[in-house]
Amino acid sequence: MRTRIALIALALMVMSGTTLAEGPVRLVFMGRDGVYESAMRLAISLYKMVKPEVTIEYVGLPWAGLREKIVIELAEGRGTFDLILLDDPWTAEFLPAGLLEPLDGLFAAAGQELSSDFVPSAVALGRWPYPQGTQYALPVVGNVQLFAYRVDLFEKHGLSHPPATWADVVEAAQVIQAREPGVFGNVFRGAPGNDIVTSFLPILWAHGGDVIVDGKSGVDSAEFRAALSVFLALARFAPGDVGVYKAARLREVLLAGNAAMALEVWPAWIPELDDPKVSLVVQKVQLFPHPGQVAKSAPMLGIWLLGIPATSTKKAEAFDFLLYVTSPEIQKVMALHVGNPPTLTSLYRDPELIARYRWYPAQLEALLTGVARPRTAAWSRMEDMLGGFLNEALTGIRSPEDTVRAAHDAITRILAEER
Amino acid sequence: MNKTRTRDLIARTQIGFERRIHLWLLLPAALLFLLLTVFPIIYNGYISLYHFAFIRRVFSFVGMRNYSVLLQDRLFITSILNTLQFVLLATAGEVVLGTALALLFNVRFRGRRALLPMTVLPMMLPTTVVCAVWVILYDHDFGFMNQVLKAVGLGPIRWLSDPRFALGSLVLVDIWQWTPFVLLVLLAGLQSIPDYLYEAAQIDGATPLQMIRHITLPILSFHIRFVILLRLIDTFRIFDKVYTMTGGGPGYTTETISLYIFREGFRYFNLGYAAAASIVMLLLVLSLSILYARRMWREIRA
Repeated sequence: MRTRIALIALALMVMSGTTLAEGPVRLVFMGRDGVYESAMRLAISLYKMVKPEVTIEYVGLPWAGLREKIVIELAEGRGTFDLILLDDPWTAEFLPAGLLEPLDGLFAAAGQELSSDFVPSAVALGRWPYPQGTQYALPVVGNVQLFAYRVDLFEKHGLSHPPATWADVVEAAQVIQAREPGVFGNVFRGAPGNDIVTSFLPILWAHGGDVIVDGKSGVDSAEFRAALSVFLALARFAPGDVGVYKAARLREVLLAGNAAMALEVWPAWIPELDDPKVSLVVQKVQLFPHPGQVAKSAPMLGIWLLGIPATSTKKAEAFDFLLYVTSPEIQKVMALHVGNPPTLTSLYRDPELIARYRWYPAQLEALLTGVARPRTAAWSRMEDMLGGFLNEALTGIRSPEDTVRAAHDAITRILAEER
Repeated sequence: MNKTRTRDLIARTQIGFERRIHLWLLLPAALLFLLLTVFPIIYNGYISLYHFAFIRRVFSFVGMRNYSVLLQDRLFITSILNTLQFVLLATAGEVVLGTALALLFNVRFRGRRALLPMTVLPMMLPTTVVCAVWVILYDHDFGFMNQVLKAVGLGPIRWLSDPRFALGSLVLVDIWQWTPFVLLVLLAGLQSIPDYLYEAAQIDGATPLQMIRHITLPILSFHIRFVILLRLIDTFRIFDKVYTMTGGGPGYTTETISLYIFREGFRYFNLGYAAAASIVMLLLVLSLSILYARRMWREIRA
């Protein structure tokens, strides 16, 4: 009851100054399902208390379904939706095509400015050209990869922690797997496509490489080869079937205490680690931004942004909700009640939130040092190609050198087609 | 005389009227068929001649270029070969096992009524559930299959991530799920064979194996051929199992045509190219089905 009253009070406190059309308004919001949906629905219900005349209908879809719907909706220009939630790599496809409304005019019309509290790396993902161009979308979910390791096992086997470099990670994986029966040195997502690429990129970035360097393929490089060598070394201390592991399987292995390290965890999964109902490793897992190597730590950003389709007929009303959902008060409520990771720097330093989520300082560090995936409209195709070849290397179909050559040729061909 | 003529005239009018009624009754189905099957195929053929990048709204005529690029794409050729391998192995496994089970369930034995619904249960389950269960069963380190292998002194197998076993593992799941369908079709066929044929054979001193060979299988051959045709067409469309269980991996060893088309069409939105790949797939399925069906009808008529 007390929570409910607090939420109502809070909702009434956060009033935006935008002048809106009089009379009832219906907005349609297309977004993700799961925890994202819970967070957005909470914000929508609070907004209803402030603006009872505005009804927001939320359509929650899984990742692939959402992308398909957004593409069809935006490219066809139907104007059915007024707000859409976007995964950050999609902006490189949608923003250059002019499918989203620039926010500058809407900020000016509302007499508002872009908050300087947004995590810089997160807010830059909503701009085109990236990272300094026009703002088209605002970050609402501060997702970033974190590295997870078992403190108890590191201390038991006299390993210094957290591991400072990827070489330390390989060594720790080897030591723990040899000495700890039933525990793998590490676990990661190795399935072809997005899964394996997401696991591999922080290692590549820490070795100073990238998939695209100065508009050309960066695959045929010493950095890529070094990163691939570390990745394949880690696979020797991972579950035998890691080549088909996706997020769900990785989570199961980590929660069951069958792995000493996970090359990545995402904020939405973390609360489960300390939940004794589902986890056998309560308070045993420590999270931190990924290790560096020759370059500094480089976790992958996975920010979700909220934008307004250029075809929406209720842009001012949609923008008013956009400001509301990205306000510090609502971001904090969504973090406290649903576990939605905020996108505002100040909230990661909020004592109440840190008391609830012990990893928030590490998460902020990861967000500040986080790296975005290459900003190209052809990223989906590149990711699939690279993911296929990396998986071939992982499962022994191709030698590392053959993998480098094949991936380089494929990325070069895709870049040429894009031009 | 006049009466007979009048009766003939009435009969002819009635036949004409009935024919017209039949045509009118067929019309809604024919319209739906034209709208939902014929039109999409024609439209698909049309856009396959264009470079159609949906997001950037690029739509330019390229003639047969999509087809020539497609046929030079090693991944597409691999996906065709994988699909054909899957189709042949899965269909053969399902028909052989389904026939054996149908023969078994055609015999009255204790517990048959309880066992039959349990046997057909796999085909009632949603494919995503089937895949989720089998992924756990196949797990290299914790899965049931490798526990069984260990118990009999064999080493564990990387069922889904070893290129030598991945496609076979998917075939096994398809056999597990769809053999019950074959069983039901063939059991219906077996139940329609009159008992007196077996009684006569028994009087003539035929053994059970001889009865299966000379009575059951010849009569059942139409059902078997029909069910083979259905399974060929269905397995050709294999998508969900690959998408959920291996994602086309390890590497591209379980990449199938449907998965290839899905990626081009719904991930890259390269619609012209995806349409060309769909037309190639349609031609493959059609040629396979027509060849098989024609042979089947010819033999039945003979």
